[in-house]
Amino acid sequence: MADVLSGGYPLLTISRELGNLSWSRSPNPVVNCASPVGSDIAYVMFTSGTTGRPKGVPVRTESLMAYLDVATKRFGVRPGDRASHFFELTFDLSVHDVFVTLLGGGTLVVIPAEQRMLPARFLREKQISHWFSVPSAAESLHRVGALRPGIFPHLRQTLFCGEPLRWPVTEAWQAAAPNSRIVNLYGPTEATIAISYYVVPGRRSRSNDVYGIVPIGQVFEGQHGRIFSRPEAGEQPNRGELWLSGSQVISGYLDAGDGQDAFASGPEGVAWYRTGDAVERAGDGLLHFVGRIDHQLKISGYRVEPAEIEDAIHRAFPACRSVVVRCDRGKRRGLVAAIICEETGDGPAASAVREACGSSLPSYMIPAHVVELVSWPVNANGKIDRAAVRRQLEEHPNPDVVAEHGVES
Amino acid sequence: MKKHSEYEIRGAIRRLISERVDEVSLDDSASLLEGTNLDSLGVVELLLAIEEEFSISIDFVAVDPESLLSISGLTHHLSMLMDESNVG
Repeated sequence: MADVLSGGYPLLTISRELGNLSWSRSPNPVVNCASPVGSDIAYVMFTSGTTGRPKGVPVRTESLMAYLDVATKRFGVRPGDRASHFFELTFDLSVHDVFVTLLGGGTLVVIPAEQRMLPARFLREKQISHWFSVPSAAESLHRVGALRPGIFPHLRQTLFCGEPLRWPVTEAWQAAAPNSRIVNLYGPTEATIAISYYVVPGRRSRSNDVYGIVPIGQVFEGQHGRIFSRPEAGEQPNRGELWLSGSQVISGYLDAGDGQDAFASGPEGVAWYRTGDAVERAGDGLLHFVGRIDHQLKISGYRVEPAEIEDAIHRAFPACRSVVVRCDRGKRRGLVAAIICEETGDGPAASAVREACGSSLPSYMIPAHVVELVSWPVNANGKIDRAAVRRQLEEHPNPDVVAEHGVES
Repeated sequence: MKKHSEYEIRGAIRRLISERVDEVSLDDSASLLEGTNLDSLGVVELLLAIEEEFSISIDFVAVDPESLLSISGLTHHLSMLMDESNVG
């Protein structure tokens, strides 16, 4: 971590050595705990980067206060309420868990890691009144048939964020938690935890169901969103990349060299953050998430840039190139690395690839499967067709078949 | 219901896992989430396959998920479920 945070930032390193907790600090730290001001950095979250290394997202105190102000008003808790602490501290949504709950005087109930996968028993035993998770947690419960009507009577508020929220699981959750309102939150780490919201109504309708996904709603008061589209290129003006600006939005990454094209200057000199998320604005003004404009993937809410994994594999195995996709069908699910090597059949063992990735990447970025291909499917422009790679991996249960298929195409 | 020995149950669970992961060098007590390349949705799919294999129904509301996360925990839980349904 100290290597990543080069450049003279004050560091407090805590490490565990031989059973003793040891503390060390970088020389001349500037510590100002007493009175943080708006431009001070409240926290830095690292998120997957396309350059092959993570980007540091510095969130200012002012941005955090702006979020907490709106979140405590709209989604706050009171003394006596029992709120879940679902998110790991490496995920910025954990900042909501901790601060929104404690600011309201509620009780923060930490879910053990082993319970996160199927949290029904936790929700009931701990009589959780305020739940906040990625939709995946609800999807798992729905998949195993655990979202039976009325099983979560204590629940009064449910927040989902981090992934598209599908209507079928939302309706099952409404039935399981009849006393709970459901709010769908949206926001990249660069916009401080969440920046838009949609309070899910009692039933879905033609206006709030686009492709089976719950809307991300509207941006918080005081924050700004615009849709960047190019009507001159035949694009609809109500559909395009979502740009964000306002007090919750960062103006640059920790390393100024990172992701400069993620920030743009709009009309009247306003600085915008380009989310890379494609959205559609319906007639009633609600925003709907419709996909990504690039290759970014989501794993349990965590952003994953395939390029970062592909780079780690290439560094460990210079004779190989890879394409990492996410498979949702077939027996090969999750992150799958398709590999092509200079000498066909000479590819590294799956365990060696995973080990190499594990030495530099967080666990959620380690490919679940590694498949060696003979050639890439390409699109009309001669570029690697990632969607076709994914389809091949999903549809062919036997990796050898995929390799043969690659020869033919 | 057919009564399976713990040995049979453990073998079937290992087979179902091996169909889903690239290699299984898994300790019976190790967590499936940490010891294999399965993520939580992958483990959920595995649990559904186990239910189908043994024609058994796990109560996912009442069960402590931790007891489903290792081969030994799963074997014990399934064995218990089969005993209960045989008695009932």
